[in-house]
Amino acid sequence: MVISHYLELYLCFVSQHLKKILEYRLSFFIGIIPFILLQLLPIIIIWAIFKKVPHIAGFNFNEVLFIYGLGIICYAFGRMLFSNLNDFGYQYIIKGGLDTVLIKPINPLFYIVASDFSEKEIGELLVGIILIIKSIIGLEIHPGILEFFALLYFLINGIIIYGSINLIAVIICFWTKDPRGLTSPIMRIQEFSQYPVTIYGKAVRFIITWIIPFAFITFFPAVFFIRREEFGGYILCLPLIGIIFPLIAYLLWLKGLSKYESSGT
Amino acid sequence: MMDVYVEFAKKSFQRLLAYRMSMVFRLCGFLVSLFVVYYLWKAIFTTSSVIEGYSFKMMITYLILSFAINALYDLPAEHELADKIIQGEIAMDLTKPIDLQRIFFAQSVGISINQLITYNIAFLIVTAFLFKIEPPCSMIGFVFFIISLLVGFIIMTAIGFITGTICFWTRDAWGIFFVKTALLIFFSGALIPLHFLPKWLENIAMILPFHGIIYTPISIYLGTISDYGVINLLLNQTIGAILLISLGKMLWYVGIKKVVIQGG
Repeated sequence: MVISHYLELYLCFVSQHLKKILEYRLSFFIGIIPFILLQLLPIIIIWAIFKKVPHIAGFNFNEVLFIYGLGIICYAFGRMLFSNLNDFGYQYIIKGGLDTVLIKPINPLFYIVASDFSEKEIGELLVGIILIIKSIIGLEIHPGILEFFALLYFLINGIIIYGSINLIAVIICFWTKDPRGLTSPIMRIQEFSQYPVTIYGKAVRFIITWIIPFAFITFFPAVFFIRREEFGGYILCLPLIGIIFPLIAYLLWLKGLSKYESSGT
Repeated sequence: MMDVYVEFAKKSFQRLLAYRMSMVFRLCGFLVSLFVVYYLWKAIFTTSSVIEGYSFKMMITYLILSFAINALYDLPAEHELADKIIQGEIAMDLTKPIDLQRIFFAQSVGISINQLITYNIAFLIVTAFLFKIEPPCSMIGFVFFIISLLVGFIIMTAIGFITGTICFWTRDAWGIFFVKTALLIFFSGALIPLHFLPKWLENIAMILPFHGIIYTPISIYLGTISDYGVINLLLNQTIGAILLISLGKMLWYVGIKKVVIQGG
Protein backbone atom coordinates (compact mmCIF):
# COMPACT_ATOMS: atom_id res chain seq x y z
CA MET A 1 0.00 0.00 0.00
CA VAL A 2 1.31 3.42 -0.95
CA ILE A 3 -0.28 5.23 1.97
CA SER A 4 1.10 2.93 4.62
CA HIS A 5 4.50 3.15 2.99
CA TYR A 6 4.41 6.96 3.20
CA LEU A 7 3.14 6.84 6.76
CA GLU A 8 6.02 4.63 7.70
CA LEU A 9 8.45 7.00 6.02
CA TYR A 10 6.95 9.96 7.82
CA LEU A 11 7.28 8.29 11.20
CA CYS A 12 10.86 7.56 10.30
CA PHE A 13 11.56 11.22 9.59
CA VAL A 14 9.85 12.27 12.81
CA SER A 15 11.72 9.82 14.98
CA GLN A 16 15.02 10.97 13.49
CA HIS A 17 14.14 14.50 14.37
CA LEU A 18 13.04 13.59 17.89
CA LYS A 19 16.36 11.88 18.50
CA LYS A 20 18.07 15.11 17.55
CA ILE A 21 15.96 17.08 20.02
CA LEU A 22 16.54 14.62 22.84
CA GLU A 23 20.25 14.93 22.28
CA TYR A 24 20.06 18.63 23.13
CA ARG A 25 17.30 18.59 25.73
CA LEU A 26 18.42 21.63 27.71
CA SER A 27 18.87 23.91 24.75
CA PHE A 28 15.47 22.78 23.52
CA PHE A 29 13.77 23.87 26.74
CA ILE A 30 15.65 27.14 26.87
CA GLY A 31 14.90 27.67 23.22
CA ILE A 32 11.12 27.56 23.57
CA ILE A 33 10.93 30.09 26.40
CA PRO A 34 11.39 33.19 24.22
CA PHE A 35 8.61 31.97 21.90
CA ILE A 36 6.26 31.62 24.85
CA LEU A 37 7.23 35.09 26.00
CA LEU A 38 6.63 36.64 22.61
CA GLN A 39 3.29 34.85 22.26
CA LEU A 40 2.13 36.15 25.63
CA LEU A 41 2.55 39.81 24.69
CA PRO A 42 -0.55 40.20 22.51
CA ILE A 43 -2.56 38.28 25.11
CA ILE A 44 -1.55 40.74 27.82
CA ILE A 45 -2.59 43.54 25.46
CA ILE A 46 -6.00 41.92 24.85
CA TRP A 47 -6.40 41.46 28.59
CA ALA A 48 -5.51 45.12 29.23
CA ILE A 49 -7.99 46.27 26.57
CA PHE A 50 -10.79 44.26 28.14
CA LYS A 51 -10.13 46.07 31.43
CA LYS A 52 -11.30 49.22 29.62
CA VAL A 53 -14.13 47.91 27.42
CA PRO A 54 -16.67 45.13 28.08
CA HIS A 55 -16.68 43.65 24.58
CA ILE A 56 -15.22 43.97 21.08
CA ALA A 57 -17.88 43.81 18.33
CA GLY A 58 -20.09 41.83 20.71
CA PHE A 59 -17.41 39.31 21.66
CA ASN A 60 -16.40 39.12 25.30
CA PHE A 61 -12.95 38.42 26.71
CA ASN A 62 -13.29 34.64 26.87
CA GLU A 63 -14.68 34.42 23.35
CA VAL A 64 -11.84 36.47 21.91
CA LEU A 65 -9.41 34.29 23.87
CA PHE A 66 -10.94 31.18 22.35
CA ILE A 67 -10.53 32.52 18.80
CA TYR A 68 -7.02 33.70 19.54
CA GLY A 69 -6.07 30.45 21.24
CA LEU A 70 -7.37 28.30 18.40
CA GLY A 71 -5.38 30.51 16.02
CA ILE A 72 -2.19 30.00 18.00
CA ILE A 73 -2.64 26.23 18.04
CA CYS A 74 -3.42 25.89 14.32
CA TYR A 75 -0.67 28.22 13.18
CA ALA A 76 1.91 26.77 15.55
CA PHE A 77 1.11 23.28 14.26
CA GLY A 78 1.19 24.57 10.71
CA ARG A 79 4.59 26.15 11.14
CA MET A 80 5.89 23.01 12.83
CA LEU A 81 4.81 20.65 10.07
CA PHE A 82 5.51 22.86 7.08
CA SER A 83 8.69 24.51 8.32
CA ASN A 84 10.65 23.25 5.34
CA LEU A 85 8.54 25.39 3.02
CA ASN A 86 10.06 28.56 4.47
CA ASP A 87 13.35 27.89 2.85
CA PHE A 88 11.85 26.33 -0.23
CA GLY A 89 12.40 29.21 -2.64
CA TYR A 90 16.04 29.64 -1.79
CA GLN A 91 17.18 26.10 -1.02
CA TYR A 92 15.22 24.18 -3.63
CA ILE A 93 14.58 26.52 -6.52
CA ILE A 94 17.32 29.14 -6.55
CA LYS A 95 20.09 26.84 -5.36
CA GLY A 96 18.65 23.90 -7.27
CA GLY A 97 18.18 21.61 -4.27
CA LEU A 98 15.09 20.27 -5.98
CA ASP A 99 17.35 18.17 -8.23
CA THR A 100 18.33 15.88 -5.40
CA VAL A 101 14.69 15.51 -4.38
CA LEU A 102 13.44 14.69 -7.88
CA ILE A 103 15.73 11.68 -8.24
CA LYS A 104 14.37 10.08 -5.07
CA PRO A 105 11.73 7.38 -5.59
CA ILE A 106 9.07 9.18 -3.58
CA ASN A 107 6.69 12.04 -4.12
CA PRO A 108 8.88 15.17 -4.09
CA LEU A 109 6.32 17.32 -2.30
CA PHE A 110 5.95 14.71 0.40
CA TYR A 111 9.70 14.54 0.81
CA ILE A 112 10.10 18.30 1.12
CA VAL A 113 7.32 18.67 3.67
CA ALA A 114 8.15 15.54 5.67
CA SER A 115 11.91 15.67 5.77
CA ASP A 116 12.04 18.47 8.29
CA PHE A 117 9.94 19.88 11.03
CA SER A 118 10.39 22.57 13.59
CA GLU A 119 9.96 21.93 17.31
CA LYS A 120 10.34 25.51 18.52
CA GLU A 121 6.58 26.05 18.37
CA ILE A 122 5.83 23.57 21.15
CA GLY A 123 5.84 26.42 23.66
CA GLU A 124 3.29 28.32 21.60
CA LEU A 125 1.12 25.22 21.41
CA LEU A 126 1.12 25.09 25.19
CA VAL A 127 0.07 28.73 25.38
CA GLY A 128 -2.74 28.07 22.90
CA ILE A 129 -4.01 25.04 24.80
CA ILE A 130 -4.01 26.94 28.09
CA LEU A 131 -5.95 29.79 26.47
CA ILE A 132 -8.57 27.41 25.09
CA ILE A 133 -9.01 25.69 28.44
CA LYS A 134 -9.23 29.01 30.23
CA SER A 135 -11.89 30.30 27.87
CA ILE A 136 -13.89 27.05 27.95
CA ILE A 137 -14.04 27.34 31.75
CA GLY A 138 -14.83 31.06 31.54
CA LEU A 139 -17.61 30.54 29.00
CA GLU A 140 -19.05 27.61 30.94
CA ILE A 141 -19.11 25.41 27.87
CA HIS A 142 -19.33 21.77 28.85
CA PRO A 143 -17.62 19.96 26.03
CA GLY A 144 -18.73 16.41 25.42
CA ILE A 145 -17.25 13.71 23.22
CA LEU A 146 -18.89 15.28 20.14
CA GLU A 147 -17.22 18.63 20.77
CA PHE A 148 -13.91 16.92 21.34
CA PHE A 149 -14.01 15.22 17.96
CA ALA A 150 -15.29 18.39 16.31
CA LEU A 151 -12.32 20.29 17.71
CA LEU A 152 -9.97 17.60 16.50
CA TYR A 153 -11.49 17.74 13.04
CA PHE A 154 -11.32 21.54 12.94
CA LEU A 155 -7.68 21.39 13.92
CA ILE A 156 -6.74 18.90 11.22
CA ASN A 157 -8.78 20.77 8.64
CA GLY A 158 -7.18 24.04 9.73
CA ILE A 159 -3.68 22.65 9.45
CA ILE A 160 -4.42 21.32 5.96
CA ILE A 161 -5.77 24.70 4.85
CA TYR A 162 -2.77 26.43 6.38
CA GLY A 163 -0.38 24.12 4.58
CA SER A 164 -2.18 24.68 1.27
CA ILE A 165 -2.03 28.45 1.58
CA ASN A 166 1.62 28.27 2.57
CA LEU A 167 2.39 26.01 -0.38
CA ILE A 168 0.61 28.28 -2.85
CA ALA A 169 2.46 31.31 -1.49
CA VAL A 170 5.77 29.50 -1.80
CA ILE A 171 5.43 27.94 -5.25
CA ILE A 172 4.79 31.32 -6.83
CA CYS A 173 8.58 31.34 -6.63
CA PHE A 174 8.70 28.91 -9.59
CA TRP A 175 7.56 31.81 -11.75
CA THR A 176 9.02 34.84 -9.98
CA LYS A 177 12.38 33.26 -9.07
CA ASP A 178 12.39 35.45 -6.00
CA PRO A 179 13.26 33.34 -2.94
CA ARG A 180 11.23 35.14 -0.30
CA GLY A 181 8.78 36.72 -2.65
CA LEU A 182 5.19 36.97 -1.67
CA THR A 183 5.37 34.45 1.14
CA SER A 184 5.66 36.81 4.05
CA PRO A 185 2.99 39.32 2.98
CA ILE A 186 0.55 36.48 2.24
CA MET A 187 1.25 34.58 5.43
CA ARG A 188 1.00 37.77 7.41
CA ILE A 189 -2.65 38.03 6.44
CA GLN A 190 -3.28 35.34 9.03
CA GLU A 191 -3.07 38.09 11.65
CA PHE A 192 -6.52 39.16 10.50
CA SER A 193 -7.97 35.81 11.46
CA GLN A 194 -6.88 35.98 15.08
CA TYR A 195 -9.74 38.31 15.97
CA PRO A 196 -13.49 38.10 15.24
CA VAL A 197 -13.92 38.66 11.50
CA THR A 198 -16.98 40.80 12.20
CA ILE A 199 -14.71 43.72 13.11
CA TYR A 200 -13.42 44.05 9.54
CA GLY A 201 -14.78 45.83 6.50
CA LYS A 202 -16.45 43.86 3.71
CA ALA A 203 -13.37 43.63 1.49
CA VAL A 204 -11.11 42.24 4.21
CA ARG A 205 -13.78 39.82 5.31
CA PHE A 206 -14.23 38.55 1.77
CA ILE A 207 -10.50 38.09 1.27
CA ILE A 208 -9.87 36.15 4.47
CA THR A 209 -12.96 34.03 3.95
CA TRP A 210 -12.87 33.10 0.27
CA ILE A 211 -9.54 34.13 -1.30
CA ILE A 212 -6.99 33.37 1.40
CA PRO A 213 -9.29 31.46 3.74
CA PHE A 214 -7.57 31.99 7.08
CA ALA A 215 -10.97 32.65 8.68
CA PHE A 216 -11.81 28.99 8.13
CA ILE A 217 -8.84 28.02 10.25
CA THR A 218 -9.73 30.06 13.31
CA PHE A 219 -12.87 32.14 13.41
CA PHE A 220 -15.57 29.90 11.93
CA PRO A 221 -14.55 26.78 13.87
CA ALA A 222 -14.28 28.86 17.05
CA VAL A 223 -17.73 30.29 16.51
CA PHE A 224 -19.09 26.75 16.36
CA PHE A 225 -18.15 26.39 20.01
CA ILE A 226 -19.02 29.79 21.35
CA ARG A 227 -22.28 30.59 19.48
CA ARG A 228 -23.60 27.73 17.49
CA GLU A 229 -26.52 29.53 15.87
CA GLU A 230 -24.51 32.20 14.00
CA PHE A 231 -22.39 31.53 10.94
CA GLY A 232 -23.80 28.01 10.61
CA GLY A 233 -23.56 28.19 6.81
CA TYR A 234 -19.86 28.84 6.93
CA ILE A 235 -19.25 25.81 9.09
CA LEU A 236 -20.94 23.71 6.42
CA CYS A 237 -18.48 25.14 3.88
CA LEU A 238 -15.56 24.13 6.06
CA PRO A 239 -15.02 20.60 4.70
CA LEU A 240 -15.29 21.93 1.15
CA ILE A 241 -12.58 24.51 1.72
CA GLY A 242 -10.49 21.81 3.31
CA ILE A 243 -10.66 19.80 0.08
CA ILE A 244 -10.63 22.49 -2.59
CA PHE A 245 -7.63 24.43 -1.35
CA PRO A 246 -5.23 21.49 -1.04
CA LEU A 247 -6.33 20.47 -4.54
CA ILE A 248 -5.60 23.90 -6.00
CA ALA A 249 -2.27 23.93 -4.19
CA TYR A 250 -1.31 20.53 -5.53
CA LEU A 251 -2.28 21.34 -9.11
CA LEU A 252 -0.27 24.57 -8.92
CA TRP A 253 2.62 22.59 -7.52
CA LEU A 254 2.54 20.20 -10.48
CA LYS A 255 2.38 23.13 -12.87
CA GLY A 256 5.26 24.83 -11.12
CA LEU A 257 7.28 21.64 -11.18
CA SER A 258 6.91 21.41 -14.95
CA LYS A 259 8.31 24.94 -15.17
CA TYR A 260 11.29 24.04 -13.03
CA GLU A 261 14.66 24.10 -14.66
CA SER A 262 17.69 23.23 -12.62
CA SER A 263 20.04 26.04 -11.75
CA GLY A 264 22.86 23.85 -13.02
CA THR A 265 24.93 23.86 -9.88
CA MET B 1 39.40 61.19 13.81
CA MET B 2 35.68 61.83 13.40
CA ASP B 3 36.02 60.89 9.71
CA VAL B 4 36.46 57.26 10.62
CA TYR B 5 33.05 57.14 12.26
CA VAL B 6 31.39 58.98 9.40
CA GLU B 7 32.90 56.44 7.02
CA PHE B 8 31.44 53.57 9.04
CA ALA B 9 28.02 55.23 8.95
CA LYS B 10 28.26 55.62 5.17
CA LYS B 11 29.23 51.98 4.63
CA SER B 12 26.29 50.71 6.65
CA PHE B 13 24.03 52.99 4.68
CA GLN B 14 25.20 51.69 1.32
CA ARG B 15 25.14 48.04 2.21
CA LEU B 16 21.41 48.08 2.85
CA LEU B 17 20.58 49.60 -0.53
CA ALA B 18 21.08 46.17 -2.07
CA TYR B 19 17.82 44.90 -0.63
CA ARG B 20 15.26 47.22 -2.19
CA MET B 21 12.75 44.56 -3.20
CA SER B 22 12.60 43.06 0.26
CA MET B 23 11.87 46.58 1.50
CA VAL B 24 8.71 46.66 -0.60
CA PHE B 25 7.56 43.32 0.78
CA ARG B 26 8.37 44.47 4.26
CA LEU B 27 6.23 47.54 3.68
CA CYS B 28 3.33 45.33 2.57
CA GLY B 29 3.74 43.20 5.69
CA PHE B 30 3.68 46.23 7.96
CA LEU B 31 0.57 47.54 6.21
CA VAL B 32 -1.23 44.24 6.80
CA SER B 33 -0.43 44.38 10.51
CA LEU B 34 -1.47 48.00 10.62
CA PHE B 35 -4.84 47.20 9.06
CA VAL B 36 -5.43 44.49 11.66
CA VAL B 37 -4.89 46.85 14.58
CA TYR B 38 -6.83 49.58 12.79
CA TYR B 39 -9.95 47.44 12.60
CA LEU B 40 -9.43 46.09 16.08
CA TRP B 41 -9.32 49.56 17.60
CA LYS B 42 -12.19 50.71 15.42
CA ALA B 43 -14.33 47.97 16.97
CA ILE B 44 -13.08 48.84 20.43
CA PHE B 45 -13.93 52.51 20.00
CA THR B 46 -17.54 51.74 19.05
CA THR B 47 -18.28 51.22 22.75
CA SER B 48 -17.10 54.72 23.69
CA SER B 49 -15.60 57.56 21.68
CA VAL B 50 -12.86 58.42 24.18
CA ILE B 51 -10.93 55.80 26.16
CA GLU B 52 -8.31 56.88 28.69
CA GLY B 53 -8.06 60.30 27.05
CA TYR B 54 -7.51 58.83 23.57
CA SER B 55 -9.86 59.31 20.64
CA PHE B 56 -9.89 56.76 17.81
CA LYS B 57 -7.96 59.12 15.55
CA MET B 58 -5.31 59.65 18.23
CA MET B 59 -4.99 55.91 18.71
CA ILE B 60 -4.44 55.32 15.00
CA THR B 61 -1.88 58.12 14.90
CA TYR B 62 -0.15 56.51 17.87
CA LEU B 63 -0.01 53.14 16.17
CA ILE B 64 1.19 54.49 12.82
CA LEU B 65 3.99 56.45 14.48
CA SER B 66 4.83 53.42 16.58
CA PHE B 67 5.11 51.24 13.46
CA ALA B 68 7.23 53.89 11.76
CA ILE B 69 9.62 54.25 14.70
CA ASN B 70 9.81 50.51 15.13
CA ALA B 71 10.88 50.03 11.53
CA LEU B 72 13.47 52.74 11.87
CA TYR B 73 15.19 50.88 14.66
CA ASP B 74 15.88 47.61 12.92
CA LEU B 75 19.51 47.32 13.89
CA PRO B 76 21.60 44.72 12.07
CA ALA B 77 24.62 46.31 13.77
CA GLU B 78 23.96 44.48 17.02
CA HIS B 79 23.86 41.08 15.32
CA GLU B 80 27.13 41.88 13.66
CA LEU B 81 28.70 42.85 16.97
CA ALA B 82 27.39 39.67 18.60
CA ASP B 83 28.74 37.53 15.74
CA LYS B 84 32.14 39.17 16.01
CA ILE B 85 32.27 38.53 19.74
CA ILE B 86 31.14 34.94 19.50
CA GLN B 87 33.42 34.05 16.64
CA GLY B 88 36.36 35.88 18.13
CA GLU B 89 36.86 38.30 15.25
CA ILE B 90 36.56 41.03 17.82
CA ALA B 91 40.25 40.53 18.54
CA MET B 92 41.09 42.22 15.25
CA ASP B 93 39.04 45.29 16.15
CA LEU B 94 40.60 45.47 19.58
CA THR B 95 43.99 46.05 18.01
CA LYS B 96 42.75 49.15 16.20
CA PRO B 97 42.77 52.59 17.78
CA ILE B 98 39.01 53.02 17.63
CA ASP B 99 36.17 53.13 20.14
CA LEU B 100 33.86 50.26 19.26
CA GLN B 101 30.88 51.76 21.04
CA ARG B 102 31.17 54.83 18.83
CA ILE B 103 31.59 52.67 15.74
CA PHE B 104 28.46 50.81 16.75
CA PHE B 105 26.62 54.09 17.12
CA ALA B 106 27.89 55.36 13.77
CA GLN B 107 26.78 52.17 12.02
CA SER B 108 23.34 52.43 13.58
CA VAL B 109 23.04 56.02 12.42
CA GLY B 110 23.90 54.97 8.88
CA ILE B 111 21.40 52.14 8.89
CA SER B 112 18.64 54.28 10.35
CA ILE B 113 19.14 57.10 7.86
CA ASN B 114 18.94 54.53 5.12
CA GLN B 115 15.71 53.12 6.57
CA LEU B 116 14.32 56.61 6.90
CA ILE B 117 14.92 57.42 3.25
CA THR B 118 14.06 54.11 1.63
CA TYR B 119 11.31 52.94 3.88
CA ASN B 120 9.88 55.24 6.54
CA ILE B 121 9.05 58.10 4.24
CA ALA B 122 7.23 55.73 1.88
CA PHE B 123 5.42 54.19 4.84
CA LEU B 124 4.29 57.57 6.17
CA ILE B 125 3.13 58.77 2.75
CA VAL B 126 1.13 55.60 2.13
CA THR B 127 -0.45 55.64 5.58
CA ALA B 128 -1.26 59.35 5.31
CA PHE B 129 -3.31 58.48 2.23
CA LEU B 130 -5.00 55.47 3.82
CA PHE B 131 -5.76 56.76 7.30
CA LYS B 132 -6.71 60.02 8.96
CA ILE B 133 -3.77 61.07 11.09
CA GLU B 134 -3.76 63.60 13.90
CA PRO B 135 -1.31 66.51 13.32
CA PRO B 136 1.21 67.28 16.08
CA CYS B 137 -0.42 68.97 19.08
CA SER B 138 1.59 72.18 18.63
CA MET B 139 4.69 73.55 16.91
CA ILE B 140 6.71 73.40 20.11
CA GLY B 141 5.29 69.95 20.77
CA PHE B 142 6.63 68.83 17.41
CA VAL B 143 10.09 70.18 18.19
CA PHE B 144 10.09 68.32 21.52
CA PHE B 145 8.87 65.22 19.68
CA ILE B 146 11.90 65.31 17.38
CA ILE B 147 14.26 65.84 20.32
CA SER B 148 12.62 63.00 22.21
CA LEU B 149 12.87 60.78 19.15
CA LEU B 150 16.60 61.43 18.87
CA VAL B 151 17.19 60.68 22.55
CA GLY B 152 15.06 57.58 22.03
CA PHE B 153 17.38 56.56 19.21
CA ILE B 154 20.38 56.89 21.52
CA ILE B 155 18.60 54.75 24.13
CA MET B 156 17.80 52.13 21.50
CA THR B 157 21.37 52.03 20.25
CA ALA B 158 22.78 51.87 23.78
CA ILE B 159 20.50 48.91 24.54
CA GLY B 160 21.59 47.27 21.29
CA PHE B 161 25.21 47.67 22.28
CA ILE B 162 24.56 46.18 25.71
CA THR B 163 22.76 43.15 24.25
CA GLY B 164 25.64 42.62 21.86
CA THR B 165 28.15 42.90 24.67
CA ILE B 166 26.32 40.39 26.85
CA CYS B 167 27.41 37.79 24.28
CA PHE B 168 30.85 37.89 25.92
CA TRP B 169 29.20 35.90 28.70
CA THR B 170 26.43 33.95 27.01
CA ARG B 171 28.37 33.00 23.87
CA ASP B 172 25.00 32.68 22.19
CA ALA B 173 23.21 35.60 20.60
CA TRP B 174 19.86 34.19 19.64
CA GLY B 175 18.19 33.88 23.05
CA ILE B 176 19.41 37.19 24.36
CA PHE B 177 18.17 39.05 21.28
CA PHE B 178 14.83 37.36 21.46
CA VAL B 179 14.33 38.31 25.10
CA LYS B 180 15.45 41.85 24.36
CA THR B 181 12.98 42.11 21.48
CA ALA B 182 10.12 40.86 23.66
CA LEU B 183 10.93 43.33 26.44
CA LEU B 184 11.36 46.11 23.95
CA ILE B 185 8.10 45.50 22.10
CA PHE B 186 6.14 45.36 25.29
CA PHE B 187 7.69 48.01 27.52
CA SER B 188 8.37 50.58 24.82
CA GLY B 189 4.64 50.85 24.19
CA ALA B 190 4.97 49.64 20.61
CA LEU B 191 1.67 47.72 20.72
CA ILE B 192 -0.43 49.90 22.98
CA PRO B 193 0.00 53.24 24.80
CA LEU B 194 1.49 52.32 28.17
CA HIS B 195 -1.27 54.35 29.81
CA PHE B 196 -3.70 51.61 28.75
CA LEU B 197 -1.94 49.02 30.87
CA PRO B 198 -3.04 48.35 34.45
CA LYS B 199 -1.48 50.88 36.83
CA TRP B 200 1.18 48.57 38.28
CA LEU B 201 2.38 47.49 34.84
CA GLU B 202 2.46 51.10 33.67
CA ASN B 203 4.60 51.99 36.69
CA ILE B 204 7.07 49.22 35.91
CA ALA B 205 7.21 50.35 32.29
CA MET B 206 7.94 53.93 33.29
CA ILE B 207 10.85 52.83 35.47
CA LEU B 208 12.45 50.80 32.69
CA PRO B 209 14.22 52.77 29.94
CA PHE B 210 12.26 51.30 27.01
CA HIS B 211 9.39 53.80 27.14
CA GLY B 212 11.78 56.48 25.90
CA ILE B 213 11.94 54.80 22.51
CA ILE B 214 8.29 54.88 21.45
CA TYR B 215 5.77 55.83 24.14
CA THR B 216 7.42 59.06 25.29
CA PRO B 217 8.04 60.64 21.86
CA ILE B 218 4.54 59.82 20.62
CA SER B 219 2.89 61.06 23.82
CA ILE B 220 4.72 64.35 23.32
CA TYR B 221 3.58 64.45 19.68
CA LEU B 222 -0.05 63.86 20.65
CA GLY B 223 0.11 66.22 23.60
CA THR B 224 -1.36 63.77 26.07
CA ILE B 225 1.03 65.04 28.75
CA SER B 226 1.13 68.46 30.43
CA ASP B 227 3.99 70.87 29.59
CA TYR B 228 5.57 70.20 32.95
CA GLY B 229 5.34 66.48 32.27
CA VAL B 230 7.10 66.88 28.92
CA ILE B 231 10.20 68.45 30.50
CA ASN B 232 10.13 65.75 33.12
CA LEU B 233 9.97 62.99 30.54
CA LEU B 234 12.75 64.47 28.43
CA LEU B 235 14.96 64.64 31.51
CA ASN B 236 14.01 61.08 32.40
CA GLN B 237 14.92 59.97 28.87
CA THR B 238 18.26 61.78 28.88
CA ILE B 239 19.30 60.32 32.22
CA GLY B 240 18.25 56.90 30.97
CA ALA B 241 20.36 57.32 27.84
CA ILE B 242 23.45 58.39 29.83
CA LEU B 243 23.06 55.49 32.26
CA LEU B 244 22.68 52.98 29.43
CA ILE B 245 25.72 54.29 27.57
CA SER B 246 27.78 54.09 30.76
CA LEU B 247 26.50 50.61 31.49
CA GLY B 248 27.45 49.58 27.96
CA LYS B 249 30.95 50.99 28.38
CA MET B 250 31.38 49.23 31.70
CA LEU B 251 30.18 45.88 30.39
CA TRP B 252 32.44 46.29 27.39
CA TYR B 253 35.58 46.82 29.49
CA VAL B 254 34.77 43.91 31.75
CA GLY B 255 33.85 41.83 28.71
CA ILE B 256 37.03 42.29 26.71
CA LYS B 257 39.04 41.07 29.68
CA LYS B 258 37.07 37.87 29.43
CA VAL B 259 37.46 37.53 25.71
CA VAL B 260 38.21 34.00 24.62
CA ILE B 261 39.58 33.57 21.15
CA GLN B 262 38.95 30.16 19.71
CA GLY B 263 41.68 29.14 17.36
CA GLY B 264 42.27 31.57 14.54
